[in-house]
Amino acid sequence: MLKETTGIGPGLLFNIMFSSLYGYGVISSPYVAAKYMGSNGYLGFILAIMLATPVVLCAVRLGKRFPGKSIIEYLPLVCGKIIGKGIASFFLLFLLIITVWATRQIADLSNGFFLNRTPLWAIAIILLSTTAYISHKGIEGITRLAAFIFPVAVVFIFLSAVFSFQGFKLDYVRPVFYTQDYQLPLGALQMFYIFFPLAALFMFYPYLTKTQKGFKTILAAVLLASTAILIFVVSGIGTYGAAGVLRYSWPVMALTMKANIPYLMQTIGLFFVVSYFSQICLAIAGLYFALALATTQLLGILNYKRFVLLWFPIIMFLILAPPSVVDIRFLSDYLRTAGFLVVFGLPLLIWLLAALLKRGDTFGAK
Amino acid sequence: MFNLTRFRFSNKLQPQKIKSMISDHKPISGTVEDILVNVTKYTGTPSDLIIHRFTTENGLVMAAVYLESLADISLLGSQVIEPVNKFIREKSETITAATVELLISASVIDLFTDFNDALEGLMTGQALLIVPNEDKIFGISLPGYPRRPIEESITEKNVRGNREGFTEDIKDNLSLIRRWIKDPNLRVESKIIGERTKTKVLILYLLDVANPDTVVEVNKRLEKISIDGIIDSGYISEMITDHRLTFFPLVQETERPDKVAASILEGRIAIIVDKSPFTLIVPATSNEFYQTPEDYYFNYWIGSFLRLIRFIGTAMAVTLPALYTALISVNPELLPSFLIQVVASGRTQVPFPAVIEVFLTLLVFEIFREASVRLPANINMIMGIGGGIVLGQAAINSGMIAGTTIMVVIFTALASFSTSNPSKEQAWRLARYFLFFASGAFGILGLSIAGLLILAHMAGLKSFGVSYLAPWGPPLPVDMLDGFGRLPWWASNRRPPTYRPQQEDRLGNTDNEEDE
Repeated sequence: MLKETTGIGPGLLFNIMFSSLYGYGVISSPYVAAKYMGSNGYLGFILAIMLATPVVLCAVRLGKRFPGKSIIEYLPLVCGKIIGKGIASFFLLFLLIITVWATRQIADLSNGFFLNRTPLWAIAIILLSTTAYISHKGIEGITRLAAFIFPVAVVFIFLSAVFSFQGFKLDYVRPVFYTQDYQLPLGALQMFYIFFPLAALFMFYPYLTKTQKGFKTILAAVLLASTAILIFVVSGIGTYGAAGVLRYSWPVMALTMKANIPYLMQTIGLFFVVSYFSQICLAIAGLYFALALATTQLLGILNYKRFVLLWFPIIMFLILAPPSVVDIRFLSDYLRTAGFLVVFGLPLLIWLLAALLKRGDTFGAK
Repeated sequence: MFNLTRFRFSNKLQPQKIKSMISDHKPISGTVEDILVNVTKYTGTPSDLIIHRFTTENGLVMAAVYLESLADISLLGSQVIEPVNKFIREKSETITAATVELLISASVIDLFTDFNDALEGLMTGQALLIVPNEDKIFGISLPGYPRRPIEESITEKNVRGNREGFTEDIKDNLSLIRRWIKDPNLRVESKIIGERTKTKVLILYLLDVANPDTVVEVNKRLEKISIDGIIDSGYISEMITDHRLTFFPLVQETERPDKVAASILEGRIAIIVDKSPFTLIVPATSNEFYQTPEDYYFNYWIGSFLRLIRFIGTAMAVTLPALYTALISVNPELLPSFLIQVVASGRTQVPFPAVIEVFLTLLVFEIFREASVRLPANINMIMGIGGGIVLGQAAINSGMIAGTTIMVVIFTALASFSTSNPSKEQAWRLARYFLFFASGAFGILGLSIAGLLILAHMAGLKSFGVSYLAPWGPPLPVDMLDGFGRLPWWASNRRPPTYRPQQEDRLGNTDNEEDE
């Protein structure tokens, strides 16, 4: 048999990170931005982007300090076996929650917009089965799929984003650079939810073959995804106003459905929907794979393919647990805050501990 | 309850098993007559078995055995029988092996020391010369079986370029390749596969270009094949493929020698199978199935345009019925208002739901297509007009099917032939139905999900270690430029890195010399 190598190049990592971040974050971004920062919601997001940079840096540094190891594997080395495994379990729980959250989000969207006569559980089963199948292919399969879809998806994404400005009114985003004291940091903290898929990066990083290009590649993916989302945030607030955005459950859907190319296309919505579905499915598949892999590494048994199947009923149950979108929205506020602590705080803490206690390959980490 | 034992055959009904008479290794011994008796015994004296006995007043001195249906009798007569007869008439010496070697003017002479090998040689068309008092038999290659002349490929026609196509004769096919590649580094390795058919298989590659790991893997997989007979290269294709459960072809098949030669120059490996006009090429990525040699014979603008048309055609052929069904039956809100009016007005009388209507139309068209393959040419046109046009018109007029549905199905059928490779086109034919049923059930969401599943399946495929979605996944920028379009030759001085050739630089400078 030809030697199987499980490794991904920078290009593949770029594609999966872009898909994960964009797919996860775009659909509710104007809503969250408007809710916490009003017409200046985009400012909070820009600050959130800046906060994401140290997370990427931590992932790269920790990856160099512990080459070939994921966060689950180096946590016990840094924090000790018991505490390390405890934190690893907590991290695994976080991956589970964001996987469930993302799947429920797209299921609600599909149920609300496209298949309102289809029961939610049926849509959830289809989505979860699809993402389970994709994650079953492993990191190479997921990233290759993301890379294949990327050229077409990115064109559709930016086309939708640009044409969504058709109803834009500058007055809705004014006054620019005026925020109340607490709005900006609170807004940044809440908008940071878009970068939750960076948690999966700590599981993907060991597969990266050219680690010297890691930081630039991941940062480029973060910036590109953030640009697309920022355009939608500005467009959403500019088209409907901060108060108007809050009237929609899925303002980005409403934006793109309204946008059109005169004489050519009545609604850009179809383009956006197809590209969005592909990206969110990839995002969920990436998170699902990270969850399965993390479980394998934490427990030290079986392999990720088995855990993809084992996690399926649990994730399905958790998806259907909250009864309605209102409950999801209620829980989301707390999840966003807690998630910030995990995604931003935890890697920094581990890196600091590793540096202070001189754990890992200190020569390579410099 | 259902009793299976009732259906077990009794011993009386079971066919008697006849044991093969061929055993392992049997040295050649005995007189000429003894050997002849063994030959007739083991072959069952077929009607085309000819035994020519050379006799003198001393008795039988030599014998020639051949199969009339395989050997060239005129060549046999001039190169074997006539010289031997002349020797017997003129000289009274005993014929020995050394004498035979001097007498026979044939170019290929094998020496068999094993009787079973000699029989195999007889079955492949060799004439056996049995010399007395020798422990060896001569096998002389004088193939005289009927061969099809070199014609244009039936499945891969072109407007411009070479019009030779492979035939069923492996020697002719090899000569076609050799006329393209005259590099001594072209390696031709031979294998015999199939216990009963003993099919000859040739592996062709450039020693200093092809990836050595891939060459080793090809050899390994071919050696692992254990089957009684190879009838076509498709058997081998299925048995050496990386993933056996997929319907996507992972081994490329072609009837064109120019395509094979170009592939070998890129670092790929060709497998020629005797009695099959389809040569296999590995590794094969999805991208390869949309490229034709014609792309390189025209100007690169035209070549790029043709490739783009193929991609668009394939995409439409696969997704159009699904998209149409999703938009008119589940998610009509996504259709522009003027289109809704057109579609709705055409479907007012149609009694079936859109899914059933489209499915029935697709099914009818598939039946037409399959039937037309076997129809005689003179009836095909009449059936096409009568069955296609008249039936379609009648269906629309009666209100059974909407005009837009017929349009979609016909366009789909025509567009499906824009895929340049028949195997890939058949694979997409199946995928189309998966997309169709998914979109019929779940609309745009179903179409997106089904499409993603198919792409995810393709993303997990590999062909001899090369990702099936290369050069898109993993992204290889240089190759990607040559994916949708065709790079001009003055920009193509490197081989595609997709197949990991040993030498990425092509020999010679392809830059435009006028610019220097």
